[in-house]
Amino acid sequence: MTTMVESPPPVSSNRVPKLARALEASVLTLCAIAFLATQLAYPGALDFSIAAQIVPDLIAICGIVLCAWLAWRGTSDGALVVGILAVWISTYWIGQAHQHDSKTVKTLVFSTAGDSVRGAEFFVNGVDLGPSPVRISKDDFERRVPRLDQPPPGFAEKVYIPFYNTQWWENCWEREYVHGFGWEFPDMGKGKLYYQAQYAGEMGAAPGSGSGGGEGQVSIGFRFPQRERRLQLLLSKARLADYHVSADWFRALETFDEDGWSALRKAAQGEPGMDDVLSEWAKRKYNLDTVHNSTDAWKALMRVCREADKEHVHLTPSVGGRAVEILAKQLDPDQLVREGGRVIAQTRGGVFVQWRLAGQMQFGTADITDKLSFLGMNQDGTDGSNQPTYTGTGGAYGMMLSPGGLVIAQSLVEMWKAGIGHQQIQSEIGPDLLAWHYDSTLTFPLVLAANIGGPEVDEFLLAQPWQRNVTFRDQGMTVFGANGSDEINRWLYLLTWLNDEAGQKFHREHAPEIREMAGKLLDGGMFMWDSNHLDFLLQDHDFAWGLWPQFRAAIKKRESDPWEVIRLEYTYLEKMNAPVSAFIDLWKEERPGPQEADQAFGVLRFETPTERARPIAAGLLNFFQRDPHAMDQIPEENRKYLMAALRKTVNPEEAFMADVNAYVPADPHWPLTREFWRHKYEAIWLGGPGGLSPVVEQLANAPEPALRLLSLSAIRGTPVASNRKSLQKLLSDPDATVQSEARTVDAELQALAAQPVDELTSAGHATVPP
Amino acid sequence: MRFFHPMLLSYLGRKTVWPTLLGAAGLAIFELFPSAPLSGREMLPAAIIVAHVAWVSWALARLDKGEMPFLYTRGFHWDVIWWHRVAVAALSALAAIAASSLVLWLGLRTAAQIGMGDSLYPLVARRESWAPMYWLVLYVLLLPVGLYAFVRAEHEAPLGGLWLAIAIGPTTWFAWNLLAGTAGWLPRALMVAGGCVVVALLWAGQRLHRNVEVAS
Repeated sequence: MTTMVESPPPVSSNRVPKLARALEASVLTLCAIAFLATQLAYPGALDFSIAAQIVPDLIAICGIVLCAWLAWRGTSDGALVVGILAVWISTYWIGQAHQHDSKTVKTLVFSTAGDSVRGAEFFVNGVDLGPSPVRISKDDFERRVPRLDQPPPGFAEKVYIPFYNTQWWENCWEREYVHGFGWEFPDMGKGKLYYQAQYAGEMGAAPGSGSGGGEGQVSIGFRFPQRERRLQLLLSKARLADYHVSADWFRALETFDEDGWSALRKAAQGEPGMDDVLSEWAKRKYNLDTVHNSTDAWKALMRVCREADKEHVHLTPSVGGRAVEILAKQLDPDQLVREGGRVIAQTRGGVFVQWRLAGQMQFGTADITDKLSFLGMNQDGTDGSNQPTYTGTGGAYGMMLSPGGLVIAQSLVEMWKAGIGHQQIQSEIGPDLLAWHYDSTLTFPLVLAANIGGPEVDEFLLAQPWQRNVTFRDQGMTVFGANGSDEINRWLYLLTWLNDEAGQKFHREHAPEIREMAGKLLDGGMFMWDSNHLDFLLQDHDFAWGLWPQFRAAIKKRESDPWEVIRLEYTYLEKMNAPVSAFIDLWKEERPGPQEADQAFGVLRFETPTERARPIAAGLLNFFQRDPHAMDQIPEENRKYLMAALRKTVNPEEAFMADVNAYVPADPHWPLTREFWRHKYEAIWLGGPGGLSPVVEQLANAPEPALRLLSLSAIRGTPVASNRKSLQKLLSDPDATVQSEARTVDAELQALAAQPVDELTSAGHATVPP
Repeated sequence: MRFFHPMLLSYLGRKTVWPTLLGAAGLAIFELFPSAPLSGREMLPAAIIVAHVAWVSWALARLDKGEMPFLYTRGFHWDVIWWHRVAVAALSALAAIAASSLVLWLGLRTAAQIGMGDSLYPLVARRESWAPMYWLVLYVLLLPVGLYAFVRAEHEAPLGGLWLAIAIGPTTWFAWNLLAGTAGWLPRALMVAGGCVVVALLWAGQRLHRNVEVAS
């Protein structure tokens, strides 16, 4: 220790230096501001709009200034009291005003929905309110929009758009639209309002359905046939190029946003070339050709994550999703699992949407709801049930699931599906999901963990009090908190989902307990939301058979619509892999009417894998043919449709040819009826997104000129190589009309091949023929 | 001028033995009992930390026996004494964090919970390992407040530091809990502001320290 005095002793003084007073004033002011900001920011991001109240703002500002001044004067106690009072009064006042505001509609929001058109001009009663989504004050709206007793000019003009009908007997047809949607807005006092939207010079067609997203919100699904046609032509250009497309082509497709990759995914169902195009798109966008090892793959995945977060959205079927599908097989499982663990630990809640696209369940999440507005209208009807389902919960002490987090989750799922990293996922991801979410109100992550299984998950779930009777008061012990499920023990429910050897053993040893739980679920009607909720009960087919009578009794008790009853019954039978005889027995017992039969067969059509649906349909057909009284309850005119529908499931091409032949005119030289021409849509569908089939070739080689003419519609719609080969033959068709039409189609396709792609962008200026 | 004097550190450190034991033992023993996984945001450890910080700051500010003037006459610059006080307080906090971390990392909490029949363990132990880091952040925020408050207490209007502590405490608590699930710039801005407050308090404490100690 040094013994020398190094500096003079400090001057003794107990006066507070200016420095301390300045510090105390600053820190107290900062605390008041931080407290105020925290209050305004909860929950979510700082919302200055709720702070836009003059009086509480003045109280807060004056209070904080007074607080700072008092502290500067050395009276910090007074400063503290003033600061607390000012902030408390201000936040309370703002909170009250916000509550009042949320109950009173002051701002109206109008938007288009159901596709990825953004920025369409929104009109109400002929007044252009600006690009969608339109936010307008109620006062401004009332001042600008006049009352109309008649629709604006052009409103009632009819548009016919082909669609794929969920009604079996009329698979493809046209639906009538008008140029807008009329609806009386509540509390507006202007009578019926006429909503219209214009995009790229085209007035949108409305199918007659719209929805309000909440107080003061109107969301309408417009369709823009010219835009849709441009997208189809863009795909046809790819077909004409045998799927070898240029960078310009991808740039054009990108302008269609979600509709671009949706169209590719749908087309890829029966057209492997389109699947390759989607992969090529992902490779170009994320430079996947430069990925040679797991390090490169990781960098590329991080790029997808960053972009998802920057765009505030990730959707598993998107181009980013395809990149994930490609990269997942090249990633280092340990690295991905570590990152997955980090995401699970950070994420305490989330909202995600799931929907069916191209026969697959898809997932998405977005920070901005507008990013999901393309979902929900099921306008082309190519899928039986692509209505989105939103699932979610609020976050507490953690972040909501981010788009980047969903990218990581998708990577893990894809890796699992590829059979890679099972051991790491079972030992890390499953336990992490349980550890961080065991008491969550969202059961989804826990079900996921149970599906993953593995020794740690087994040990944990089996150790929990799954035998305990629970009520809705047992927080964290129940399942969904909805009908009936608030008495379901969460652990018993999860053990039933356990998808490994331990789960199977549990099923065998505790069947009575599971049956009792299933009874509560059935009585509570949980399966009404989504038939997927039944899956865990149906994994064990013997068990499912045992539950079948209870299931039927429960749905008959709860459901008043007979068609919904038989739809659920068919779903149950299909999911538990019941033999054909079970479907026949059910028919005999229920004796459904035409509407109910249509719904039941719809399950086979839309929700059952083809290889399973075919023998069931064949069995039913056989039964109907053998038993003349089997369809006594069905009116004669409906029977042929239902039989045709079953035939289409067994062999769509054969059934189609039989059906269309019935409409071939007796006179080989026209006129063709509208009934005949409706088959052109089905021919296009069969030859395109629904799956390439020999139908086009069969039509092109048919002896009747009308059928050969019909084939040209399919060739024009789907100019793949095999169809173009048929076209070459038709160019020298002996029938002059067919030959002339073939030449027209050939010229159109050549013109399309030469057409610059920038005319076929989403807002492209080219007006295309229907 | 030398800034680091181990003997001074040791001399001051002796004053903080009991508060350090309180902090370390309090946090470590607390950890053994809650049946729910630790989040780092529990009330009781926060109270233990407040008590620990208050006791450490008080112990280091006791001047009635003329210790500080004595140290000054032994050649330690006033600022050197201040920063050694800060270092000793920081070491005391680190000791408490180390003890609580060891209880988690050595599996003592898991063993205790299994012994008490908590079926969530050992699986949920994986989410607790970083709970002491939240407590460390609390120490980083509260120690400068405590040290400043006791130096400030030697001046006129001696409760000025206490009022500051009362303002910072609830603000931290609200921001800590309400903004946990909030993304965006506000949590980051508050963290930066918190860092600035910590630095400013230590600096102001040093300046106040210069002209107060001899008076006692």
